[in-house]
Amino acid sequence: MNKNTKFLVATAVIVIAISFLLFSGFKSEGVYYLTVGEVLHNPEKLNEKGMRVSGEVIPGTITKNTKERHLVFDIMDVEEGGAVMTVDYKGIIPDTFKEEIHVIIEGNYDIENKKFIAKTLLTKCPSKYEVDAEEETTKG
Amino acid sequence: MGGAGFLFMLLALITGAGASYFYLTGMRSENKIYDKIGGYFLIAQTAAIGIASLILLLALVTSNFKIEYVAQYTDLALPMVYKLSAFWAGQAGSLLFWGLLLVIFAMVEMIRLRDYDPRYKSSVLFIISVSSSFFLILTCFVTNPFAELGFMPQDGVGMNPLLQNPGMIYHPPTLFLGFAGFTVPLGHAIASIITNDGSNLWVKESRGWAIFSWVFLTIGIVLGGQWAYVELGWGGYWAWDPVENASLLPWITATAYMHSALIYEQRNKLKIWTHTLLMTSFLLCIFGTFLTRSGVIESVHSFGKSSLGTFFIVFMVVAAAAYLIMLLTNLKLYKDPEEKEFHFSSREGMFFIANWVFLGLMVVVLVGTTMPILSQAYYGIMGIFGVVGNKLTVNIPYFNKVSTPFFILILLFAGLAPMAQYGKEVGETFYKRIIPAVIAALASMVLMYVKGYTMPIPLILTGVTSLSLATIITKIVISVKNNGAKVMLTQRRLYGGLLVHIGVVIMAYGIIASSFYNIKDEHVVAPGESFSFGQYEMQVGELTVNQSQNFTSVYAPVKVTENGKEIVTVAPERRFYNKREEAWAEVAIYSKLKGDLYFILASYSKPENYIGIQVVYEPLLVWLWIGCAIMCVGAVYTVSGRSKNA
Repeated sequence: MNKNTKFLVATAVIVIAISFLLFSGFKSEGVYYLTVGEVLHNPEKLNEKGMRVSGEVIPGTITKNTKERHLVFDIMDVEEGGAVMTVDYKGIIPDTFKEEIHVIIEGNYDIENKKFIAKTLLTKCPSKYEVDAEEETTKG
Repeated sequence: MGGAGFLFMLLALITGAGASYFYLTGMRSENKIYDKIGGYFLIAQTAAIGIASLILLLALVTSNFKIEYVAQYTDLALPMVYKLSAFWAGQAGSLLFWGLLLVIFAMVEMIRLRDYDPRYKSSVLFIISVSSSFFLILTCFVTNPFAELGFMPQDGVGMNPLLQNPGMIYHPPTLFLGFAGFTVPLGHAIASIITNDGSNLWVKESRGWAIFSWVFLTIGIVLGGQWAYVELGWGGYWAWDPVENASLLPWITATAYMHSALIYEQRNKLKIWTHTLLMTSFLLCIFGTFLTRSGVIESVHSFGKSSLGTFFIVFMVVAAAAYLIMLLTNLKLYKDPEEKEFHFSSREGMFFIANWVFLGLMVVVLVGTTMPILSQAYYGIMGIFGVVGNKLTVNIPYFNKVSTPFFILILLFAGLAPMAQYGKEVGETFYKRIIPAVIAALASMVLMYVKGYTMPIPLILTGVTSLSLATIITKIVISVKNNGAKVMLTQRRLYGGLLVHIGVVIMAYGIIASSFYNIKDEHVVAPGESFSFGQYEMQVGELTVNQSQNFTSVYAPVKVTENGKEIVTVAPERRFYNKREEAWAEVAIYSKLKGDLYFILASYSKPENYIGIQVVYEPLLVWLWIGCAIMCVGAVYTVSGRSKNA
C-alpha cells in the first residue's frame, strides 16, 4: 500500500468509528430536552426516550417528606403559556430546593397517574452565581 | 472609586489598542522602531490593568458596596480570603483577571525575547496584546466590574455558600492561568508563520509556556473535580456537566498538542497537526468561556444569560479565519519532505494515532455538550422540509459510553508508544519487551475476575491500564540497565514524560475503581443507634449545634469502627448561612489509600428524634489526586534544568 492509500484508509476508519460511536450513543443515551408544554403534548412518544424538563416550582404545591426523601410538587413553564404538571421525586433533596426555584428534572411521564416520575432533580442556584446582564443594565 | 477603576480599564484598552497597532506594523517591517513603541504601549497597558485590578481588590477588601460587583459577591461577614477571591468569583471580575494574566505574560515575553528578531517578537506580543484588549472591550463595554449602584447599600448580598470553599481560592485562578497561558505558544506559532520559519524554533521557544499552561489547566480541572466531589449536589468529581466539559475540551487538544509538538521538534513531522492542535486548544479555551458565560447551554453551574456570547463568537471566528488563512497560504513551510518514510507502528506513528484519538475524544465530548444547540439548529433547518422533532440532549451515560473506547486507546498507547522506536516499525525486540507487561495485564484481569469483579468494561480498562504501567516500568528498567541510573537525571524529557504517563495510569485506577465499584447506603436511625456498612460499624451520636463567623452548623457525629476497632469519628453537617434560608450540606470524608468513606447528613429531626445518614464508599479515590500530582511533577520535570534533551 502506498502512503496515500494508507492514510485514506486510516482516516476513513477513524471517521466511521467516531460517527458510529456518536450515532449509537445518541440512539441509546440521548434524551429529549423539553418544556412542560412539550411533555404534555405527546408523552407517549416521548416516553420512548428519557426526558429532561426544566420549569419553575409553583408556590404552595410542595409536599415534602424529609425522612423518606420524597417530594411531590408542580412545575410550570416560565415562558410559553405556563403549562403545569405534577412531579414525583424520590431521592436526595437538593439544599436549594424551594418554591419558585428553577429545576431541571429527568425521568419519564406516567400517563395513567398524570405525573412525571423524576429520577434526578437538579436545582439552579436561587441567586444564580450571577445576576442576569439585562437586570444589571436596568439597575446600573 | 468605581469611576477611577473604569478609567484605568479604559486607559488599558486604549494603550492595548496602541500596542496591538504598533506590533502589527512591526510584524511586517524590519524597522525596530515599531516594536519599541509597541513595547511602551504594552508597559502602559500592563500598568493600567494592574492599577484597575488593585482598585477592584481594594474595593472588595474595604467592602465598598456602592460598586455593584462588590455588593453582589461579598458582605461584611464574609471571611477576608473569600472577599479577595471574589475578584474571580464573578463574570466581570474574572474577565478582568484573564486580561491581567495576559499582560503579565506579555511582560515576561517582552523581557525574554528582547534580543530576538523584532518581527518574531512583534508577532508574539501582538497576539497577546490583541487578546488582552479583547477582554478589556468586554469589561469596559459589556460587563463592567466597576459599575456603581445609585445608592450605598448597608451590606452586600454575600457570596453563594457553594462558592465559600477553599476551591474558590485555587480552582478559578489555576484554570485561568491555563486558559490564558496558551495564548503565548499561539503567538509563537504565528511568529513562525510571519517570519517564514518552518523550523522547530517556535516550538522550542514556547515549550516552557505550553507545559506551564498544561500543568495549570490540569491542576485547575482536577481541583474543580475535587471541589465538586466535596460539594453535594454537583454530582461527584466528574458529572460531564457543560461547565466541566468546557475545561476538559481544551485540555484534550492541548494534550495532543504537547505530543505533536514533541514530534515536530525532534522529528520534523506532524507540523500541520501541531499548528492545528494549538489553534484548536486556544479556540476551545475561548469557546469554554463562551459556553458557560453566554447562557446558551443549561448547566447547574451556569451563569446568567448575557450579551457576551456574540463578542466571543466574533472573536473566535475572526481568530480562526485569520490563523487558517495564514497557515494555508504558508503550508509549504510545514510540509514534511520525508513523509513517505512513515510507519504507523513507529513511535511517531503512534503519536500520529494518538492525535486522532485525542481529536476524536474531543469531538464526541463537544458534540454531546452542544447537542441541545445542534439538535435545535438541525430541526430548525429541517423544519423547512417538514421534518420536526424535539430538542435533544445527552446525559452522563452518553459521555461514559462514547468516551470509554477513547480512554482505552489512550491508556494503551500511553504504555506502548514510549516503547516503540522512532522511524522504525515495531519488530521482534518490541514484542519481546512487552511480554512481561502483557503477562502482568492478564494477571491483573484474572485476579480481578477471581475476586468477583466481572463486569467487562472495568476488566478491559484495568487490563490496558496495567499493560501501560508495566510497559513503562519495563522501559525504565531496560533503559537504566543499559545506560545507568544517571539517565533519569540527564534525559529529563523522556523520564518526565514517562512520569506523566505513570500519573495517568494511577489516576485511571482511581477512576475505574471509584466509578464502577462505589457502594452507597442510607440509614435513618435514632441518635445513639448504630448501623453496619460493609466491614464498618457506624454509631450515630447526638445532633450538635455550632456557631461560626457567618453560619450556624448542625452536625451529627458518626463513630466509625472496623472489626471492633474504633478508627475515626466524622461529622457530616448542615450549615445555615446568615441571610440564606436554606440549609447547605457539608459532607464529611474519611480518606484512606484503599478508599474514601463519604458521609452526608441526609435528614434529621429533633422533635421526631431521627437522623438520616447516607454513606458512600469510593474505593481508591485518593489515587485520582495522587495521580494528578504525579502528572504535574512529571511535566515540570521535563522542562527543569538546562540539560540536553533526550
